[in-house]
Amino acid sequence: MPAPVWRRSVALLVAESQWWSAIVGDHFEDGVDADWLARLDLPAAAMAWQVARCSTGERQRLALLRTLTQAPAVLLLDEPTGNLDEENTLRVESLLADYRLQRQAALLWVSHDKRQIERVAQRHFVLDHGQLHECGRR
Amino acid sequence: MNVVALSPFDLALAALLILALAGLSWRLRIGSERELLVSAARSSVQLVLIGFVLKLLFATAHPLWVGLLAAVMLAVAGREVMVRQKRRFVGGWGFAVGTLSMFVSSFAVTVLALLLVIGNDPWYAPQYAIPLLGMILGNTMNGISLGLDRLTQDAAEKRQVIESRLALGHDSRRAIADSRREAIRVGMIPIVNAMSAAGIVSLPGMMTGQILAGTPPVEAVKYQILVMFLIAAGTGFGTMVAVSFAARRLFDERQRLRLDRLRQPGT
Repeated sequence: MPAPVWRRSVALLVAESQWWSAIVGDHFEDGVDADWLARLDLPAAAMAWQVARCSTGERQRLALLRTLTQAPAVLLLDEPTGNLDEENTLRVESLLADYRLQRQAALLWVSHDKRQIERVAQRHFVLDHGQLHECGRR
Repeated sequence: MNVVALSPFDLALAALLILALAGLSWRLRIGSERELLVSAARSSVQLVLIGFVLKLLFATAHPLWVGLLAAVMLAVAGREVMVRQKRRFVGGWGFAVGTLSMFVSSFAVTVLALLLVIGNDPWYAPQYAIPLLGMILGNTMNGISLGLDRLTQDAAEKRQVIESRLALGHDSRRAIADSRREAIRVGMIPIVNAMSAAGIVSLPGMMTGQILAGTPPVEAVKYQILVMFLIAAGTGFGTMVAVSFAARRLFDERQRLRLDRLRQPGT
């Protein structure tokens, strides 16, 4: 399988989002579901925003949507709510939960927030001095 | 009209200017007198040597010798491109990327001009082939140096952006497209400037030389226009080939960005 096809279906979302064009909408070639925007408390006008003027949290939510528009079957998430307040953290968790159920997707979620882990995880591993231990299963 | 032949005395007079400049640099503690004298001596020796080489070459005009000199010129230009790179490719690629691109563009353009435009017999007559190749190679070398340097710098700086694009499923061509475009543009700036300023700001060296040698100005101008176009074509195509080639080499077969294929600056 060619690497780009693989990466579309097994998508990595890093904590610090990167943008190559000045306008947010340039990064969404196929547009974005208005419902998804609303669920993350972003207006439809967000597509016309300048990336440089977005807050870190806005960029993180937009980056998540950018990855989701590619309809990946597996999501590798590195601290996907790291820069978000509690309200937006819950919004992201709820959107991801629905995405997982609707698309039958698998999520690998790296987090430091114990309560978040309790809310979202089915299986829970801790990386300790290079060793991976399973801590919980639901 | 004959050329006014220069005597050794005439050259010595000009050399006095360099000595005076070096003296002033020493006196004012600018510290560039050594460099100035060494490079002046180096250029005199190199030019005298090439004068004799050309004299011999013109006398025999054997294609083998013309080809050999052309190969030496290419190898030296390839080395220059390599050593000017802040982050060059490790191993043989550092030399190969620039050299192959120069070979493709400069040689193709020169041979095309000799065969179709000038139409001398034989086409490889060294009086035309060597100076023409030299001018095209010299300029192509600058374009490729600038373009490659910009590409590798840019890729290193924008590493995270490029890797993000790869993670989003962009193929490597697309992920590096912005850097590639910018590098080609930068490589072509000098020749575009030279063409825009020709005749107003500067009288190009070749035309000046022909006029000094007694060629009617309008004939010299025609040759200069030809040479300008050839140089622009050689530089433009050469830079495109080199930058595209290098942009490919920055990724591996799994389309991962491989900055480890570049030497870190200062090592």
